[in-house]
Amino acid sequence: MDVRDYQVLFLVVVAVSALLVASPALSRLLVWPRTEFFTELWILGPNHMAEDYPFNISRGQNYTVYLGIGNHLGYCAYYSIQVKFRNETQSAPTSFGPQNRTPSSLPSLFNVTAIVPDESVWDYPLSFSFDYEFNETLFEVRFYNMTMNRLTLDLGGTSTAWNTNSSKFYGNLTFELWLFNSSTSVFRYDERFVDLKLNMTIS
Amino acid sequence: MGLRGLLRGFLLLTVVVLVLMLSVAAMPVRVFAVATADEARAAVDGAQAQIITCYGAVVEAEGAGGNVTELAGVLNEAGVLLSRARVALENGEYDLAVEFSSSCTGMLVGFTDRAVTLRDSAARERSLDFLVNVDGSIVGAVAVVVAGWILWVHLKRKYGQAGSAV
Repeated sequence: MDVRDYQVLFLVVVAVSALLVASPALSRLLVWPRTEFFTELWILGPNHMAEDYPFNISRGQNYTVYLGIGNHLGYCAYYSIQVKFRNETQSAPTSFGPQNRTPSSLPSLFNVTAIVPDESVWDYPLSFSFDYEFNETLFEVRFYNMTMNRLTLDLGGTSTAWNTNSSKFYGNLTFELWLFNSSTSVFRYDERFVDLKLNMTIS
Repeated sequence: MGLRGLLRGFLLLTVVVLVLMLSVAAMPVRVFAVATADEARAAVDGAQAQIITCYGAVVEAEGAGGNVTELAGVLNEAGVLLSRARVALENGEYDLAVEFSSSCTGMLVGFTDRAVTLRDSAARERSLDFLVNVDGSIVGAVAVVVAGWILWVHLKRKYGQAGSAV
């Protein structure tokens, strides 16, 4: 018997054994680098599903939605969600378009802050109701205030006109995502938002 | 009722008024304190600054490999209070704004210490994990190769020569 006949087999056995022993190190060193860093923002209906969103709104009636954030930025992020309410003619935010992505110029009614660890999800229930009245003379809906999570937010001065195409009084409840920049210590619009288009019924 | 009765009544009334005045003066000042807009704004800004400091500590702890879910939860609760303080400030309810801001900062007492402790323990664990899994397995792999080579040389000496002699 010549041991050199088994040289290849021996080399393979030693190499495989070495790779097996080195696998914990290899699993840490040979990691595909993350290349996409982004934030998810979503809104869900009252059953935590993407359905049954409130649309036909009655005065004083309470509605619930769930706001969610998924952080894939690679670090624990500090977000602020600015809640705004606007009619069809007021400034709207933009996102994912070719144009400049800008927030609505309207003042924020309420800020929801969220600190979300990397690769984690944050979920927040929001209950809201509106107080408004129909102005027959001007044929418009005039808002007084809205209640969000038992906080009264002033909507005085906001009104919405009759949409002749759809025969509805529309209002938009908008949630803009702002991200805290640690180096400048300010929040910056993260170029994304979600909104609820609401029909203010006057029955 | 004579003059003596009137005098007694007057004295009694004076004593009651004096006692009332003294008790009012002895009450804690904050019961009657009415926060101004500037005070409320300062309280809200202070709470915001506190949250930012704590957030920085959480980022460091996460960077060291710590699980910051619990700490983030506390910060989110503090954030809710800060949001309420802001709304109160906007509505001109300055006392309420100060109260919410105080609750917010109160909730964060000792927070940075907890974050620093988590950061340090996570750094230690990461270092140990690196030592065992990365350094250990690389050394192990080298040992397997060296042992294989020694074994091969030994086998070659023992059976290689015998084989060639046959």
